[in-house]
Amino acid sequence: MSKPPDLVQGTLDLLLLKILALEPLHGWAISQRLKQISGDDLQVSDGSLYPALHKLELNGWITAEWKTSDLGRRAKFYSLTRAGRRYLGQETAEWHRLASAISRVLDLKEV
Amino acid sequence: MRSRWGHAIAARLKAVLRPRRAEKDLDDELAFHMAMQARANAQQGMSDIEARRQARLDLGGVEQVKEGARDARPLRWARDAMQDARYAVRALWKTPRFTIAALLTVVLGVGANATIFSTLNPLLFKPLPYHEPHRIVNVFRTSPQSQRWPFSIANYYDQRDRSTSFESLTAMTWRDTSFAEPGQPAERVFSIRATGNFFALFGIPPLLGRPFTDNDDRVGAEPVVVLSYGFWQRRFAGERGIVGRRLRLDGDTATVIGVMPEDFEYPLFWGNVDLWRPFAFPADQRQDRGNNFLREFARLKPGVTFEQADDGIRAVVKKILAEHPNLDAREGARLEPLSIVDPTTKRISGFAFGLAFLVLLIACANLANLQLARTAARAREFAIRGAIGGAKERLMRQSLTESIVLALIGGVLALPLSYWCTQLIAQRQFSDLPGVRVTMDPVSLAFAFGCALITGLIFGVVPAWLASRADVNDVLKQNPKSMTSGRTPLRFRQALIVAEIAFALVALSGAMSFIRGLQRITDVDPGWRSDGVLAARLNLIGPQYTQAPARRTFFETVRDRAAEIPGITSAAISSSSVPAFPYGTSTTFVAEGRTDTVLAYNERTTPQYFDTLRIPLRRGRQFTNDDRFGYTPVAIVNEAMARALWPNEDPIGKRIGFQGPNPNWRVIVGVVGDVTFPAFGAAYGVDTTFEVYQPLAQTGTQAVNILLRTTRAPDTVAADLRKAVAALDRDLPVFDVVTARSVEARTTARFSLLGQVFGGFAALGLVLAAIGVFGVVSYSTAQRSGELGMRMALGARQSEVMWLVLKQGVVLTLVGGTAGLAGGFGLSRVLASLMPRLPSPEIALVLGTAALMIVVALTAMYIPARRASKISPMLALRHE
Repeated sequence: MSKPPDLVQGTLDLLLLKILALEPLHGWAISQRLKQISGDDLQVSDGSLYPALHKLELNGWITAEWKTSDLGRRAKFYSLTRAGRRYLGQETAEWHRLASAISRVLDLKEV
Repeated sequence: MRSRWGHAIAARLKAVLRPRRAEKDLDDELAFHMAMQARANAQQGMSDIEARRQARLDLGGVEQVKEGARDARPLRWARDAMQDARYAVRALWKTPRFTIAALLTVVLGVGANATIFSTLNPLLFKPLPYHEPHRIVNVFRTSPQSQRWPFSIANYYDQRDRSTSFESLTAMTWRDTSFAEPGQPAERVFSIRATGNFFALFGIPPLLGRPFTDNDDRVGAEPVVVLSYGFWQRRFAGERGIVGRRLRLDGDTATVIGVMPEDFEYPLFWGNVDLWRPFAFPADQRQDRGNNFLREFARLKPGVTFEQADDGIRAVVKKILAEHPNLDAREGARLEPLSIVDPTTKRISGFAFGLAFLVLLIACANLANLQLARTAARAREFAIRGAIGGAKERLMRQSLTESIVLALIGGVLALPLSYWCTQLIAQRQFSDLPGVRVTMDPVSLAFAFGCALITGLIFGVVPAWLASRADVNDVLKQNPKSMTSGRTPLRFRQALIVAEIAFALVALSGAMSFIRGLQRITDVDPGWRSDGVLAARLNLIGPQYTQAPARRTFFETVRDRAAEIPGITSAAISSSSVPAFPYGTSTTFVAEGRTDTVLAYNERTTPQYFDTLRIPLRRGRQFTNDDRFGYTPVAIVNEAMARALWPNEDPIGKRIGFQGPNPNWRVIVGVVGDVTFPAFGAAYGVDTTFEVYQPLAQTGTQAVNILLRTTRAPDTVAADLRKAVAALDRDLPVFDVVTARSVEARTTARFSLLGQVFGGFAALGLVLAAIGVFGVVSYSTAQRSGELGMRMALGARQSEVMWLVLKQGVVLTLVGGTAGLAGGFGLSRVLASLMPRLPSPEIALVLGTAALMIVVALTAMYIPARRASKISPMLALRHE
């Protein structure tokens, strides 16, 4: 089984922030949402999900809270902080800038 | 609404302050994830077990995820270190033999270093407790004979007026003072007389009242006195109203104007001081250039360097000498930084540090060896842990942590040992220096732990590195019992052995050279016999002794009474105590009819002096009772002086006198043997080898020494002597009653103690090295037991097997021994430059030391080799 390519450094953070910008979620829901949205193009192992979430939390971009889930079990729900929302805006703009720059280069016609 | 950092800090604090809670949350979170995933899997039709298994697989290893999450947390390293330390303690506990051997090595190595440091720290490294002490310097008069002489009054005032690099220049001298409270017997106290600017120069404010100033050292000024803290406490119980009190000192009254704080005393530097009084030199004394008794201190101007000031004072003194043709033009001046120890002691102390460090290096080599053996034995464990996912750095760190934990525990255990040794040395070495607090202070503790830590790092890093390089497959393929540790560690361990033997030999030969040198010094004939001689001091203070004739009469009476004490075979009075230390005064003499001057010790004695000390008379006669005041002034010189001044003539009848317009010619009536002060001379040098004796009855000295030759126990004589003097004048204390032997011992005490310390270090190094060699050879023999058994099964003889084992060790020993021998010769050169008067070591001694080292090393190897040769082939092979 060949491993899917690793995400570009920092992109996982961006995806997680975006997902949490929509609504607060617990870890499993986030992993489901990731799979749903990105399909098979971006495979994020659940193993790298949690360290990334914890890093975001320790950096103050997201915050966590233990709440009872819809199934009656206690789960850790993550939500975006105001700073996180601002950060997401900046990073998104940065991503678009970078992506369009790269596409411009790649779209150059070969002579 | 919280800011980003509010959230971040809250989250971090939670992780750091409640680590267990963080772990539990992590567990719960992952459990929830897997439960949800399993549920989802089950809904897709998987069996329960399969659903859970798949959930676990998706997560990709629970432990790995946890490690990743933990990595994100702050202070990860601190938590790891704690965990490593706990693990290390457990691992050490499980291997008690290794742990004890290693701890013992650390304790000895660190203990030796901590002891030396805490003993020498107050002597070498602590600055004196004065204001900007680096700007204060000693000013010494120099001559061809000595570099540390005092100045005359006139010279002091000239320097003070002319020098440009000093902010101030003070002069002082030590003086015994008689202190009498009404209705109590007089007490002898130690005082310093100094110029008015003395306290201002040292820059420490008084505890009470004021210090004396330039206004107090003028003739006719109200007599004042400043008390030391110790004297104030002891004599006046720290009474705060003491300022303004009038005290009777030397028969006069003086007003107490201040008390100095405890710090100021610093007896290590000043000796005991009870009080300070200002000088009051009348105008005629200020012209005096003949009596050199003033010790000078200067404070350099800010920005003036030591070298500039030194050049400055040399030029000033040269000019002063040039203006006074009757002064010896070979004299000069020099500065010396303010320090409580003389340069020789400083250098020897540095040598002691070097030896202690060698011992520490040997200890490190030993520990590295032990740790290597242990790491090799644990190679499987490490390999397996590496295979199942332990990070390599983590494993290396684990091994290093173990070393450091071991070193720190050893450091703690070394403290009591070091404390005890320090106390012992303090008692032996410094009991004659009042007020010295040689003890373990925080700085010493820090030093000890620094040593321990460095030891741990040195002996931990290398084995850890080697362990981390081990190839998992190689290690696992090998039979755990017969495992060899590979080529690199073997080379490394051989290098360690060579280094250990070399270091131990260097330490040993250094210590032996020093001890043997001391021994040869003390073997030198001092020119007098100390056995059965007792010395005491007497100071004539009081109005009835102000006239020289009264003093002379009294001395004679005291001598006669002392001679009547039962068991006294001979009694004499002299200006210096027993000649273990050089005579107290040296004077420039000139022989009649010659222009060149000679410096000679100048001792005043009663006629019985030479008999009492058994100094042999070579020519002429001793003094008699007729050599008294008003009769022909006479002198006795020693052989060295007679030979130098009158090489081919009879010195008897020749005359010598003082340099200058008033020679006061003295006729030489006798020649006696040389008194040589060998121990003192070896350490510090003597002023001159020439000695002149004058009859006490023809001079007028105040402080004298009673010397007795007795057949009785010294302490019972002391009581009789006190009684005899008290019968003459009950206010005169007889003090410092000592045996000549003990004074003699004091001259060598410092160095013989250092010799013992060096010897101790050398022995320690030897033992550690022997243990190291023993350990390595035993270990490699054990590793080769299969091979050796095979050889024996195939018919090798015992002696052949033994030689096989020994061969490697012999080569290592010879290599180490050769290196050590070279180092030892180098070290003896260093020693010779440190203490030039110490006799240089004999080649035989150094070679003997090397032989001893080799014998010890070979013995340490012989034991395991012999055991190997006794091994039963069957047993060895089954071992495989």
